Amino acid sequence: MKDRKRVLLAPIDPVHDIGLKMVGRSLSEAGHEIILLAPDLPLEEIVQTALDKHVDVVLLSRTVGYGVAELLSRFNDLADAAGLRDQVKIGIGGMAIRPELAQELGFDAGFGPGTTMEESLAFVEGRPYEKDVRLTQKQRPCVAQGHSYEYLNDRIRGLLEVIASRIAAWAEERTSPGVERARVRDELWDMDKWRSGEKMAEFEAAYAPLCEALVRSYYQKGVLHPKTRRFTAEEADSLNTFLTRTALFMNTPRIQHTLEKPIIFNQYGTGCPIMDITHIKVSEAWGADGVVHFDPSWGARTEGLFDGFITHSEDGTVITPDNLFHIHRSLEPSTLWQVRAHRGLNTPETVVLAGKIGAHMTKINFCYGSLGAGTDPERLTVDAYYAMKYAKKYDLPFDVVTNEELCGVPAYKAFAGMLIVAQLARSLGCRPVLQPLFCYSPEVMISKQMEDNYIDFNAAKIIALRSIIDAPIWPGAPIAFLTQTEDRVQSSAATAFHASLSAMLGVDAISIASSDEAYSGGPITVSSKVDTLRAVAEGFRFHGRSKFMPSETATRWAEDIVRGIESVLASVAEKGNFVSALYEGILGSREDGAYPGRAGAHTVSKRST
Amino acid sequence: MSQIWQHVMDALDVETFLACESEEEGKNLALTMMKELGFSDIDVVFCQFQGPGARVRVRAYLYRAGDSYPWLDLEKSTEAKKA
Amino acid sequence: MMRQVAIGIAGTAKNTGKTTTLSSLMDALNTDSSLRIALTSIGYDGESFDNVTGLPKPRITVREGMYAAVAERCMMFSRAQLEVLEDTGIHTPMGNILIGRVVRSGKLIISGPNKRKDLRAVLDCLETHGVRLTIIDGALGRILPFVETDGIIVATGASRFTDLNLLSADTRAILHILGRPVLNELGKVADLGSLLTDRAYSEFLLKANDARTVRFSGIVIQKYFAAMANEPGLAGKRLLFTDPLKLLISGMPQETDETLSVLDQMSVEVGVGRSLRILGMTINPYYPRYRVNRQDYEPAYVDRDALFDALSQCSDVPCFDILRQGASALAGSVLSLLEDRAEHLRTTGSCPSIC
Repeated sequence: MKDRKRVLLAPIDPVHDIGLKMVGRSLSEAGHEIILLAPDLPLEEIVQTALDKHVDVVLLSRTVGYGVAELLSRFNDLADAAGLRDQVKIGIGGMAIRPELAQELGFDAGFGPGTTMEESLAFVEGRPYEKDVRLTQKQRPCVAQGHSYEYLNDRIRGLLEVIASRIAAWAEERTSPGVERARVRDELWDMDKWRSGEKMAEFEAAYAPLCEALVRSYYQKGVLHPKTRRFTAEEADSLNTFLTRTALFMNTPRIQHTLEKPIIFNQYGTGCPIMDITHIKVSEAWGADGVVHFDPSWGARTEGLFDGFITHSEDGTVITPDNLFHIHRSLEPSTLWQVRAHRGLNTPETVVLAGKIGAHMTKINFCYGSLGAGTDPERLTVDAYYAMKYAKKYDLPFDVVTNEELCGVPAYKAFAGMLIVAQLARSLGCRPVLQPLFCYSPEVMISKQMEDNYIDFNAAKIIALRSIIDAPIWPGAPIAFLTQTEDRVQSSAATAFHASLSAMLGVDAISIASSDEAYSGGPITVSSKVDTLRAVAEGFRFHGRSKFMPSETATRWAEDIVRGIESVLASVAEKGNFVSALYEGILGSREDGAYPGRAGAHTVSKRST
Repeated sequence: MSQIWQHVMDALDVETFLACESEEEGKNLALTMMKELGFSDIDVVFCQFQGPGARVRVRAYLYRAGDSYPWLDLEKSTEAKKA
Repeated sequence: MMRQVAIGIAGTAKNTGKTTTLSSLMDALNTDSSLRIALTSIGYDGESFDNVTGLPKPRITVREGMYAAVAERCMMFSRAQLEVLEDTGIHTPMGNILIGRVVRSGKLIISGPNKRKDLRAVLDCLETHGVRLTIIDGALGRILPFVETDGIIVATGASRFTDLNLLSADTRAILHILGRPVLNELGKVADLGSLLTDRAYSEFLLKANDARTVRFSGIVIQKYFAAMANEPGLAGKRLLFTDPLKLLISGMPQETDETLSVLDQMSVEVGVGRSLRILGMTINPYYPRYRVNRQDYEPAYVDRDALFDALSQCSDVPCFDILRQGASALAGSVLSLLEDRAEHLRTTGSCPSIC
């Protein structure tokens, strides 16, 4: 070994310190010589031993309590006076140790809670410990990786290919104000010009007429949406101070313990982009790998996007170039960022804007958007088709969520819709991610598949999808939907159990809620995000790589789901016109609880060739 | 308001167990307690009555989305307060 | 080049008013814009709330044109803006020490070199930037790095002891120890490091037997001074320490001072190689009072006048109540130290290593 160090370890606590022993072990393993002293020796004796043994480094450990700060300071004064400090580095570890305290007490380094062995090793070896080491260790993951998208069920593949090619042919001949705005945004809106504050007259002239009156008056007269206000310059300045300060302490830990997957997503959308950024920083610091932008419901029903750094007085954060830009710049390099586009009148344009600003993922599903989120089926089918083309252009994988299950649509029908979207996406060269719900849905409440446990039916969904296609799977959104209550302990536990189930099933990603998920009386708090991230981390720590076998029932239910999907797809194929199939309830009927939306009805027109 | 509240990011949750005879009473006690502590934007997040009383979590929002948050720049906020 | 002057502000305990002394002194010195002043610390100061007690603490404001040697992380946190002139490469828990010039006045968190060797290096570095006077903030419970200064200001008060008799006795002992005489070697000299253990003490007795002067490069802890008081054979010996701070950290000041007096009476001469100038003493009636029932601290005060009277009678070191009197007199002492240095240079052509 080229530079073997001799390290004196001295617990100044009355009882032996396990942390110091662990450090000692890892230093030994790295080839250094360790001298471990008995606990609670007089300070002078420790100094003398360090002198006699000619050590290179002294590491002390002590829990800070009353009078301890003075004791530790005295140690350093003695060491300095005795000449020890001229050659020897002295570090301190313990529960309350922070860099400021280590500095005040005269140490060369302080190792508080969360210190890695690498950090103490770097100190001993005299290497700079770059915080970035940990950051770079956590690479930004990719959800849509490692899957071939090959079908394992030929009958279903055949049906999907027929349905998707008909949709493509139909949509290719049509357009809408949403599609046109996306084109204008794609062709005329320049990110660099926007950043430099240059006016884009050509863009505005082409864009404003494609928007509804409310948005148009913003571009023509500068009038904001009544539920929003612009941030002051001072607030924007304070955000910079906050980000600079936070950067000093940021770490992005992994919480999957020994597992590679699942990637953990947290949703944000407080209405205020600055508060969102705070939520994102907390999520990142507590182990979330990705964050999802949640926009207000009126945003999905409004033709056109506003601009400006603006805050909103209700749930959901308004999509504007400014808001997305500030959120994007606040992200840690390892964080995946998804901007949802799936359900409304700005679907293709949102994909374009998200792509230009630097999002890593988006979300598209015309079946859910038109059956469960209020957008006209014809309009959204056209818009989503072009949105997918832009997703391909801007290299944004997207998930295909099946939230219509929450309205009461059975899983097999929602899955049939999801697979149609996924097939269409594949035919356009996109990377779709399947998003089944891990939820206590109306379907299972009625049919009692979750009467005994939450495992079998959720497992059945995954088994069913895997028997059809090798595609990435990302249960959401969030997992444990409708199982959570307002009790944060129950809510966090439910999330953690579902996360553990997801991990054991080997899915690629999950979205988790906060412990405020079921509370509707006010905004979600940052501490409620910490609750579930902590609980999920503990779940992963508990089960590690161990697995369980779902029961026979899960397999049977999976077969039922696959049969159901097949029959729905057969009906859609038989119907011929996909949009008619949506209106007629083949993919979710009024009896199920799905109602075709009306926003944007009669706005689709034939494309002029 | 004390400077310490400038550090609270959004809300203060108080969790406790209140000796009472019904869930309704537990909620009322919790809200009264928060009012007596001087908070106004308050709500019971969770309350479960069983046996000798109610397990409650009651919340006071100090800052809601869209407010100005003093913790963004604590030094500036403290100086502004002094001025 | 003219050698600079370095002044340390040493607190006898937490909350003895170091920061107030430092701020007032800087204000008083700032009237002379031709004087290039730098600021650093051997600890960490500048948080809004005290690390331990949670009570509000003053923070230090630096003005444009001043210099500072502070750790990287302080610059990022502070409202004051500094132009970085040099990275000293000296590492601390708060990052590398940077030399900077204040380009925008404001509050600055001060955290600098926290051991003797590093303080020396930083002072040398500041000197190359033309700094004439460096003021060094002290740290909780540590004073040894101030060996590298030309003089210190002692900040004490109710936070050290609330009992004024006890505080007077303690202060008197501290000043006594710091005022130990400068002595030369006499006769045969034996060199030793420190007396920290029984083994080292036995070695000392052996060596002392054979020498007239014992020179310590390190320290002797109080326990062994007490043991020496029971060794009549040491009479007539001379014990030399490099500086009085090594004696001060030997143990509790009163015990050490009493033992040294006993040794004086036994004709064991304890002296130092170089003295440390005490420029003054500042007092603070404030102390954080612990509330047992609430397990927190509340601000409390002893009688201001009684405190001043008690401590001004301790010694001939000038005593200041900064909040009442301001720091102009203290600044005067600092400036006279600078003038002495300049005068010495003019008359001898060399820099004095001892003030």
